[in-house]
Amino acid sequence: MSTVTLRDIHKRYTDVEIIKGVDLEIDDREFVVFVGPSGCGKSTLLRMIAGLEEISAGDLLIDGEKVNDVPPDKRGLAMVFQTYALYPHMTVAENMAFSLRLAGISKQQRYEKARDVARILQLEALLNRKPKELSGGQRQRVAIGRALVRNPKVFLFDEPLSNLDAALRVQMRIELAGLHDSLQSTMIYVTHDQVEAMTLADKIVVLQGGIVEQVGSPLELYHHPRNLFVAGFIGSPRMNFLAVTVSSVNDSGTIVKLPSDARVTIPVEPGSISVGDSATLGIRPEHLRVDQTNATIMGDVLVVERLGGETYLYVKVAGGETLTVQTDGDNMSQMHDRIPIHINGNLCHLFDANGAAIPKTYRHHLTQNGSHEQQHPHKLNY
Amino acid sequence: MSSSVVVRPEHKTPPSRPQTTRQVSTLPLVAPSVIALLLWMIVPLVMTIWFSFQRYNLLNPDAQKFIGIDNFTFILSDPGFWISIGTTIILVVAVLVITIGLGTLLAVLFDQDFWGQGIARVLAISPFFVMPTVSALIWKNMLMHPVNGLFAQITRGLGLGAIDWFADFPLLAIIIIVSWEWLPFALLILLTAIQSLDHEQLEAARMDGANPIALFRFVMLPHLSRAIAVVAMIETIFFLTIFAEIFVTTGGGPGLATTNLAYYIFLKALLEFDVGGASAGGLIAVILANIVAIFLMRSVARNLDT
Repeated sequence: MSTVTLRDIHKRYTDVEIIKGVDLEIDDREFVVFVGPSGCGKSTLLRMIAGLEEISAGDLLIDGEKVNDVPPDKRGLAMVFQTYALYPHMTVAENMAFSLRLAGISKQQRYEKARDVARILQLEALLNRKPKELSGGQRQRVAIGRALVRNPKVFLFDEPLSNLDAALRVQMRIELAGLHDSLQSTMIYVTHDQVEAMTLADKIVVLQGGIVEQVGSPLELYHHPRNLFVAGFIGSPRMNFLAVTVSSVNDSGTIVKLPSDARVTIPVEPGSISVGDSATLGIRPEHLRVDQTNATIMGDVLVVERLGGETYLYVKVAGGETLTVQTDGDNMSQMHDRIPIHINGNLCHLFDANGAAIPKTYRHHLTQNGSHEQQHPHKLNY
Repeated sequence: MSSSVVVRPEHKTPPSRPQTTRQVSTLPLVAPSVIALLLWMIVPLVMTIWFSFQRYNLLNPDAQKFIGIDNFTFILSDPGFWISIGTTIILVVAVLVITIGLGTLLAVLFDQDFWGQGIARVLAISPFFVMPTVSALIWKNMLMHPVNGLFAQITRGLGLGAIDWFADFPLLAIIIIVSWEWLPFALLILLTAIQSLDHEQLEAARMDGANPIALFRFVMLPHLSRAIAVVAMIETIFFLTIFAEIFVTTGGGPGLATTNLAYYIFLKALLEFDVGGASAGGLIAVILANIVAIFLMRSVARNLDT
């Protein structure tokens, strides 16, 4: 068992507060990803868990024990750094066995252990090399090996793939997922790359400005974002937002009026909004369709981005907003075309004037069981 | 000693065809600096070699004649010469140990964040800007003087009596003065080196369970090794020719207690007016310096590789 619990954690420097009260429960064997824009405090939060930054207020519990004042090496954690932070003057084996050397374990045992770990990571042939003789991916693997050697309760990763090129990043991502599966240990992973977050995580923690915006499984965040920030942050390309006015509220759904006077019925719970309120409609580019027969709204194509498999159209619609539409790679639309767009109300999200999402009348079928957000209620900060 | 460093690469150029054509086209461009270096280094060196085989005393310049290696045998059989070599070695090694040892510790200290850090750094580096004669005079007359010096006043105030540094511990006094002058240099180089250390490495080591001493021993010191080698090399080259501090304070004395090789040559040439003997001593000094330089260059080059 290795669980991590954060209770109202704060981090203050002399006059700024970086982390403004974070509550979080990380279960045994869970892969948790902290994600957020630069400066949101995700790295700071990880470093506080690691013990590299002091905790200004609140409690940090590992396996139920308060470890606020326990030094980093005594917390039973291992960390993989963004720059790998290998010791340049030591060989791969010495790098991996350094913690054992400090612990006073005999040379024989140290190297045995390093060799065992090297076997897992396919580094055996490189044990006597120095870090500078390794490629980026190999260095990354040594850094992971250095963490593995310590047999930690919890692995911490601080943007470990951001220094790798795109192809290697995908490969290491798959290896990390495999590693988590085979080790069955708790992992906390910081990234600003939402693809890493979506693919690796059991649970994503979206942070902004030192506050947790939402905690949940990747699909939970994708299908049921709690507010405008999460909706815009998760998903690529970004979700489209349109300013709308509420024209009727029913149990089965709410009808909103677009700037073009078109009406869309969105299946959300009634209650928090009333007729006449202004609200924000959100719809993802992959859910918009170019549809000649069933057009909701017309728009002028500003830019066409053809990626081969898919095509992104940037379309200016009535009201001056620009929508991103994802279509298939064979779409014929050209720049300056006027195209009809169909908005399917069932795939739309509705946010009230404060930016909070209005709950939908149904749950997405992949998010119904084992969803985390009910377990860990969080203050809504809007 | 620097002549060997400059000249050597030119001999090493392999005579391959494309490189020869390139050399022809670049020769006019490098020629001015090569000629300047030749005039600057080779001419004095050749003159020194010439004089070292002459009997040439300024008290009796007419008696100049070729005397073979007599100057060398005379110098090598002079016990004063060997004493000066010993003094030189003690001086170089002692100051190296003090400046690099203290410099490393101070560099680690100055790398920490503390109030008034900027001013403290400037103050710590300032001795380097004081010229050797001036700092030697300050140490001699204001600090180490047995009557007026600050140290004597303090020790007398404590009832311990005064130490006459230049009479009782002359070499130690010189070592202290030179160390004071050169500590800032070591500190400056080592501080910049330590600031280039990746902080994530230190944090990784902390996570690995390193206490501050282990951090210093296993992470900082290996990182500094290259900078330490560079400091040692540069300082050695300067310490082999320490002169002003000795000239201003002890004048090489008492006896020969603080006479290093440079000062010995000075005594020969300008107090005994024996240009031939001084040139022979100078040549021996050049050879010694080259031996040291070769070893240091090798170790630095190896350090730069890894």
